[in-house]
Amino acid sequence: MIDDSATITITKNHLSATIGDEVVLLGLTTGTYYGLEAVAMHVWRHLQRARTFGELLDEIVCVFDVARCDAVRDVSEFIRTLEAEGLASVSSESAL
Amino acid sequence: MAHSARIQITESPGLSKDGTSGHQPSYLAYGLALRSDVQFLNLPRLPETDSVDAFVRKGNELVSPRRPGDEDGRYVEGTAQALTIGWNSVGELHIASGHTIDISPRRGIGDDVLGPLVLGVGLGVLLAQRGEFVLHASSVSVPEGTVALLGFPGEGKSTLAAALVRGGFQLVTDDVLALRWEDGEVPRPRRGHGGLKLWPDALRAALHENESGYARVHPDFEKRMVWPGLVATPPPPLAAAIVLSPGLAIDIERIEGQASMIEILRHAYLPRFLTSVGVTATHFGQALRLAHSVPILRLTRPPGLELLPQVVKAVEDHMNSLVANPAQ
Repeated sequence: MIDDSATITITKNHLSATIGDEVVLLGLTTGTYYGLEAVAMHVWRHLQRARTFGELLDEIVCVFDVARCDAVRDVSEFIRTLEAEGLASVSSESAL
Repeated sequence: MAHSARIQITESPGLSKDGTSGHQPSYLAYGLALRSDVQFLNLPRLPETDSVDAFVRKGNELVSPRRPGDEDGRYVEGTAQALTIGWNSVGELHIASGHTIDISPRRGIGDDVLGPLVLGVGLGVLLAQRGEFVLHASSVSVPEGTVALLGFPGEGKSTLAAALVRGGFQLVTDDVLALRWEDGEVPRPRRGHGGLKLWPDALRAALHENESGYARVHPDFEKRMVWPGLVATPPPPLAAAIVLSPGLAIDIERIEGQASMIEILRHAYLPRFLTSVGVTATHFGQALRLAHSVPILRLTRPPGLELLPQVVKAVEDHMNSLVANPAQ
């Protein structure tokens, strides 16, 4: 799990494209691509400015009909995927 | 890197500066002038010319031990601009800089086997190296434009293309579709080599012909090379891209949003060989442009070649309706 105070920052190591209301990401290091829709797309757009994990969760439970405990699990998993692909960094201390 | 200018060759007597083994003929495929050691009996021969786009050269016999390969005995190594693709029972193609295909054949492998490999994977990779957007797709020309049929191996791209040709439409390409944006937002395909690779049952179902009399494309497979003769020249601009998928019923629906671009990226030609490199920024930009250019559709159908006539009709009807209702 990611600590609420951890800061999530999107790296520059990607390309993104908007198709309709959705987003496709390309990790430039791995050449791996992802289609983002619904919650994942909202998280990505919200991360265009660095946020703490807690701020991100507040936003998600406000916009989507999801319990905070479920959001913690799902968003954490998504952020860890982005981190593994070099698309986001997670700092343990709040930098905001 | 794009290579738009043709390469001027000056030959010395008895020695070919291009490395081919002498005064070899030039052929036309995918709009490229190919000077080739491999003979292509079904390709248009170009007049004696020193204007050549790419060279196909046969080198020494491959004597190295067999290597680990995929389920087809194929192995891949190298980079996007210098790629080696090998088949343990056939030999290797070394494709470089969008300019050369060097072949190291195994003993006893002749042009009947090497030719389809050069025209398929060889030119597919070479065109991608030249900066073209190459998709793993067959395509046919219908009244509304060119329809691309995208699919993974075994999904029936060539079979459906053959059935559409039997239905009176013209073939554009088989298995390798190279797209160019020349004058506008809608890409135009390069005309392929005119052949179709079909399994015997697909040949019988789609073209109502027996496989006897058609050459195998590979010594280990029953697949045959067929030259239907109806080839669109020049191919019209792309009208739609149809992704072939298995399903419970025959249906065509539009793929919306990010999924449309993901499907295009999944069927980009070069990344499928270079899985270690994946999709590049160039492919990404080309796929985005294509997703914005034409409808991306999904055709689902149950397995069974007996359904081919209904599938052909579904494609025809849908393309017709696209003209009346472009949002469909």
